[in-house]
Amino acid sequence: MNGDARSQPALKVRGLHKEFGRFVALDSVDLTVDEGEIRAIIGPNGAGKTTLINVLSGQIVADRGSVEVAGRRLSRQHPHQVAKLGVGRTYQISSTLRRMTVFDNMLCAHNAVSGHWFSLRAGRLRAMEDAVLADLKTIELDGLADRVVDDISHGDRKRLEFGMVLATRPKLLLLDEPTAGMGLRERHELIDLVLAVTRERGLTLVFVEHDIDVVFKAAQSITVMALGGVFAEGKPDEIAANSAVQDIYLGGNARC
Amino acid sequence: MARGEGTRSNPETAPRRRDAYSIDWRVVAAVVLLQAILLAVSPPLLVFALIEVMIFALYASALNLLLSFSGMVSFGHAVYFGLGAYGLALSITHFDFPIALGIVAGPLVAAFFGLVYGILCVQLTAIYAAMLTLACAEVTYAVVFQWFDVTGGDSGISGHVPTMLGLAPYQFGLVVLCVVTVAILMLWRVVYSPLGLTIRAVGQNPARAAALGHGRKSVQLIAFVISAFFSGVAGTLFGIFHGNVFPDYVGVLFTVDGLLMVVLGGLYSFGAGIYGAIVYKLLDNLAAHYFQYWQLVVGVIIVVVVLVSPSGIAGLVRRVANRFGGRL
Amino acid sequence: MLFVQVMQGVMEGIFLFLIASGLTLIFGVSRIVNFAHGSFYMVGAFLTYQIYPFIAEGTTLGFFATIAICGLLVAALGLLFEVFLLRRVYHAEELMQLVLTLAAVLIIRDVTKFIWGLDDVSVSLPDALAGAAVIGGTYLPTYQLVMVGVGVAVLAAVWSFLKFTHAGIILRAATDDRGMVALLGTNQAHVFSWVFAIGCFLAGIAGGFAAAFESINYLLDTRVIVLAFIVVVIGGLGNFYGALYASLAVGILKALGLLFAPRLSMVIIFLLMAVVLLIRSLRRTTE
Repeated sequence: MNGDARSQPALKVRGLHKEFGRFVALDSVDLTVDEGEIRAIIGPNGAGKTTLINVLSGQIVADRGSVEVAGRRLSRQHPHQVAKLGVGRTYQISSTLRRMTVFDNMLCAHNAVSGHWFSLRAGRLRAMEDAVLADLKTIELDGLADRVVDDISHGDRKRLEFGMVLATRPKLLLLDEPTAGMGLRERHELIDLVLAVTRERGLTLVFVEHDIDVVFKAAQSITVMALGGVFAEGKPDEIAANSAVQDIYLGGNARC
Repeated sequence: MARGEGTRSNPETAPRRRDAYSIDWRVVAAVVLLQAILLAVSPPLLVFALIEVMIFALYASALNLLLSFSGMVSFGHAVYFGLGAYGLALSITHFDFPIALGIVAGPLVAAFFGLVYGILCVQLTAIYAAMLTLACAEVTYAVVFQWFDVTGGDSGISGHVPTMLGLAPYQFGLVVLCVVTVAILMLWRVVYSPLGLTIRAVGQNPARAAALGHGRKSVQLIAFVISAFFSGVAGTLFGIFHGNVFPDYVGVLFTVDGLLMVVLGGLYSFGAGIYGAIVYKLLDNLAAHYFQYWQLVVGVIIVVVVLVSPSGIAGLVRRVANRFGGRL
Repeated sequence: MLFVQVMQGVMEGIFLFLIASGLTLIFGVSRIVNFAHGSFYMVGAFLTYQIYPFIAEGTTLGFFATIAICGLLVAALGLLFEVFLLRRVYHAEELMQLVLTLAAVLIIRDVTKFIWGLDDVSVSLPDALAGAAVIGGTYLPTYQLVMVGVGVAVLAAVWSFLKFTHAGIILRAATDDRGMVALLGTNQAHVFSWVFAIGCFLAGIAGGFAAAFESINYLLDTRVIVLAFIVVVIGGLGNFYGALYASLAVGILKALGLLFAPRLSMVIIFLLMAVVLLIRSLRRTTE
């Protein structure tokens, strides 16, 4: 971890706790991610990975514990307020605007951060077109610009969702299973794209992933979760060598 | 569907002008001209029907902003329609406004109630929000119906404004045509502006919109107030058209009329309100004269639309337009 | 006076419960908000009016038999509606479902007008039920007591159905988690159809009883559906027991409202619904 010692960590989580009824989804989770770090979160189903992402992005309010994003403490902010702090997230099942075209989806993302989302001047939308097309090129979807999202493939939707998040210029990316349900080649194409953009823009990346190949290819460090808590943490080779981790995760139900 | 890099990324795609945002003035001019000619040459009975069609086209278009774009369902939209007419009447009878000022007051009263009820309703989502719009509407109806001293209760208010402003039917029709055209163009401006894009994003996927930084409640509230305002414009026109106002104007039947028009017209298209109003109101005005059970006909048509062609008349229009290579 | 009014409210609550319980069960499994439910109630009332003279009119047994038959007929009608129309929109948008049931309201109303006309009709109670009983020094109409009995019987029947039968267990599972039914390997379409039929049966018998206690006409559908919705919303959409409490609360509130503030009784009920909805929204932490 070669984060800048003077700056705040990009993400600092302390004692995060969340219960649904009697089910402990998060059990005093501590997590520190440095600026520019690429961190994978792995663990068996039900380990609390998605709940963690949901708390970090403001979708769920934790029972106890604190979350700091770049030194700013979150307290019960709504998702859209968290987004404005520079946190961009994607969902396990891609979340896009299904009745709009690919182009309009990306336009929405630009519109959201333009500072003029309430404007009535259509000219402001026209002014964004070049930037929208440039972003679509970055994620290699410009050829599908005029297609309605409902009609494009699952993998392309995930790609689009990632692109829309990028367009909001986040500093911290939270990706919940960015490659879930994709074919092998698509999967590696997308993760290569994610890595390239993350490095190029110096973003911090936290991603949940089930595909071990993808995890070891991408992550600089890995957090292993189990039963709502942090079970182990370390560099990829440390995690790979950890026999306890192999028992609960790698050896057991490595794939869901 | 072919998948691969070739289809995804196409370096030859030139930046295009996206005409969806701009108004096609030729179409507007043609429609307005046609309607003006129709008003001028039609017998009075048909002129009345056309005026009603135009007023309801605006009302349904305003409701359509909610239904098609903002992701909200209103079971009480007649309230804002009716309060336009009541705003006009009460500002004249109780506050001695001149008629011109009363006409301005109508839509503002509707928008104000849209704001108050909207603040409550956007706290909820989906069917719960819809039930709350119903509750707000029923409470309003009860107050209007029973506050005899102010609203005249069941017998309503009349005589506060000369019917059709004292104009001949076709003259008043031209006035309505102007107002409705401008209002619908303003709604178009709303839908195809940055604000409209925000409203549509929130309406289609509140979670994604939130992750992009849009708060659902405030955006939906804005849409609700705009919709209430333009419903109020339609209601004010309706009040002038008939020279009166009754509790029915805020009642459930006018709400249902609006909903049926939008679905008939075709959900998720801007023209839904216009197409729906034309078909529904012409059926209402003409078929009802010949056939006592015309609601049965409407019911059957709606069933067919929902089951066979959910994109409604707008979908049909689009298909025909595509066949002839044009764009609508 | 107060007691009499409360009893009147309880009876009205039981009527509401018969209608609202079906509505809420249907919503629970299929997520359909069925505007046509009031129309099925109305059809039950008119069918009772139509059939009663042919089935030993005037006898108590004939009366109950008529109502049972009408309940079954309405259930059959509901089943037709579910199988041929509603089933096609389970995956469509909410608004499409709503509008489809709204269209059914329009169609059923005009058909009702066509068959039974616009005038009020009524069914006379069998002699055995037309009297009054003295309880605690107050005269109570016998039919009110009968309705309490009917309410308890229906409650017990539905409760034991939900609790003990295989279908009931599936139904509860379907209400809690729709994906679960698919996992259980149950034919989801059958569950939906059965629930719809049961709901319509309850609406039908409610209509049958209503025909005996008040005059009925083609406007009965809207009058009752709005109240039933309020009950279902207050009780929690899909919550069977919630519908019970809410029915009684709304029934009694309405009766007392008529006593103390007749012009505002509906306003009070709508305000209750609005407050319940808003309080519930405050309790939610996520969307």
